[in-house]
Amino acid sequence: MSAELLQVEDLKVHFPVVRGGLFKKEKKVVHAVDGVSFAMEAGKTLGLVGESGCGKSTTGRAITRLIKATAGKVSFDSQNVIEFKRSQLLAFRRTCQMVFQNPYSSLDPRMTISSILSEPLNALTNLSRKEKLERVQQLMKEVNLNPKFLNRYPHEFSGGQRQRINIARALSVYPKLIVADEPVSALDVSIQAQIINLLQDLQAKYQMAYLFIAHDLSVVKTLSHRVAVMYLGKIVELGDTRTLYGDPRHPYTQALMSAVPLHDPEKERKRKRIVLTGEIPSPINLPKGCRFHPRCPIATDRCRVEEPALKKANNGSFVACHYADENKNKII
Amino acid sequence: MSLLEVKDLTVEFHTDEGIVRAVDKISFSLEEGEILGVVGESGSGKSVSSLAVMGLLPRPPAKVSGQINFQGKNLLEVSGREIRAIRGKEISMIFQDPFTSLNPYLRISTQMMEVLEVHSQMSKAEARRRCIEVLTQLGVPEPEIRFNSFPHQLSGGLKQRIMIAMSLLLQPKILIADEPTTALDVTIQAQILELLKDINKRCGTAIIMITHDLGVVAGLCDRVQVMYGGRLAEKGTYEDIFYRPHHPYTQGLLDSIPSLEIEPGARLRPIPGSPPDLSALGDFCAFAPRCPRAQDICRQKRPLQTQVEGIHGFECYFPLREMKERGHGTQGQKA
Repeated sequence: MSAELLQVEDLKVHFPVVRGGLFKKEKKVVHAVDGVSFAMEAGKTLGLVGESGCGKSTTGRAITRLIKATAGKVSFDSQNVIEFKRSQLLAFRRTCQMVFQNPYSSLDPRMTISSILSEPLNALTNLSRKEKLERVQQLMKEVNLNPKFLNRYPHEFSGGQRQRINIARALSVYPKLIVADEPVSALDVSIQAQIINLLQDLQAKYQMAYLFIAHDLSVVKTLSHRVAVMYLGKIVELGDTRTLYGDPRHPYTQALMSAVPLHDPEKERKRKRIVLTGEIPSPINLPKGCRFHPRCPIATDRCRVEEPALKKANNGSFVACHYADENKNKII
Repeated sequence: MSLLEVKDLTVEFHTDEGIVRAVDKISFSLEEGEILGVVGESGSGKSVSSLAVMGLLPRPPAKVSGQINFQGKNLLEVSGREIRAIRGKEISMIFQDPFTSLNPYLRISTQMMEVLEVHSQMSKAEARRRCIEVLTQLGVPEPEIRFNSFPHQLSGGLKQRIMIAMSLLLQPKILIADEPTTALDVTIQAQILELLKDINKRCGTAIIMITHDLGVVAGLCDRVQVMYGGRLAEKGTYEDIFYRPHHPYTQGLLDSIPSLEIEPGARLRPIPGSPPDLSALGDFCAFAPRCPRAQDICRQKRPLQTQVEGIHGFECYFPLREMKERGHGTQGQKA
């Protein structure tokens, strides 16, 4: 096993909401992330998947300190990122960068590509002007863009090219970790593969770790070494990619995978689907016991009372289900 | 005779940057009770062509030519009154975004009943009964309560069910579904796709399914057409498209999109370049700049639809598979 880069322990992000009128205020809490623990290995990709509202983006933002965690610990270099002061945070940004989903809104329309790419260098490094220019040109080449476009503005580029610029910006300080939040989902299907390959190439070259947050299980499978599945603010299953996809043990993981249509019509038409009934419960009023039990096809009385912990199952994956060892279900 | 027959449909928009030809002379037909998949990326013309069928393109700025034959009438020539009688009753449509396609100020009941008020002579009580009946059929839990709710009280999946219910109130012959599951989570998408399959089987409604997701097409559609740059790159049965693609773009799509069966860490084979700029598209093959097989002729002259076998056809001079000599279409490669 390679070295651990970052360790997340019992991370919680709760958002208070106030409901009701002037005199009858009711304080409630959205449990967006509710006790998430995992480790990031250096140079490897951890995929974080789940449906909308499961807390995957919030987890990414809390780790990079774009929002404040309510509780928990993010250990990095034996320090806690959650408690970093400003100067420590700047140092942390040199090792941890982010790529966002929307390539249109994540670049300032009034800045040239050159100034977009030098901004992190100005803030985080002591490079000279000349070195910065060289670095910026180098970065354009890294992401397969022509350096002569440096003085253009974001609107002159297509969505795929903009996402390359976003990646170049994250790469500018050669970080050890990039948190990528749905970096390909806003792109056209024929462009997605280009970006996925680029991310793979850069990882091979610079040994960066990725926290790859996405809802698309196929894209996550392509890129990730390990995968964590989230549901309602918790990780329900975490394991090596091959094991998790080949032998999923949590009933939610199984249902999620069986809902993704296969690209082979014959197989797709013969396939049996686990159709989940109902909708995701509100993260304000969480169900008692296991959070998945109201929709779970194999729930028992125990699940309605006792919340399962994330434990190692007999196939090596970590699963938060009381019946993980028995619940085998071949999906693909 | 086909239920719907589209011939040489062309849609142009006159903009400041020049003429944008969003749909460029496409022809296709829809048979009774079948599910036709239309696949393509943004800007391929898949939505615009179906909006043209629905008569929903404002003219001007859009300039629509060709023929759209439905029940012996060319929908491009009928009066506004006639098309309004057909739209919603004979041909109805559901849209991608269930969050914006319902009016947030009006109760679901008002919005659903409006359809029946406009198109039928039902009494209020009858209309209400019909609405609840359809909602029940579509598996909406507690239909009476939902019927009286406002859109913001419902989840995305439920809103899309309401949209589908609304489009089915008058038992249309054709349902056009424009990316109906793109805004939804996969587990909800699976429910909606099952629902559409069921409607098709039970009521015999023909469906035009517009999507960018090959997986959706694989499980659902009888026939598929692949659009690129406003043109029909390839059309055929789902087996033709998935197992015997002739057009390099179809193959490119199949190769570049990861499926759930992919090996972890596998290399994808992307299509180089980016989709074409429709305002600058000349009269040559739209895919030529990105095509690994392109030769001089591809950049000079647009290839015509060539027929392989049955309904399988494509627009390419240098298809991926050898064609049988007799299968040659109107022009073929000799041009």
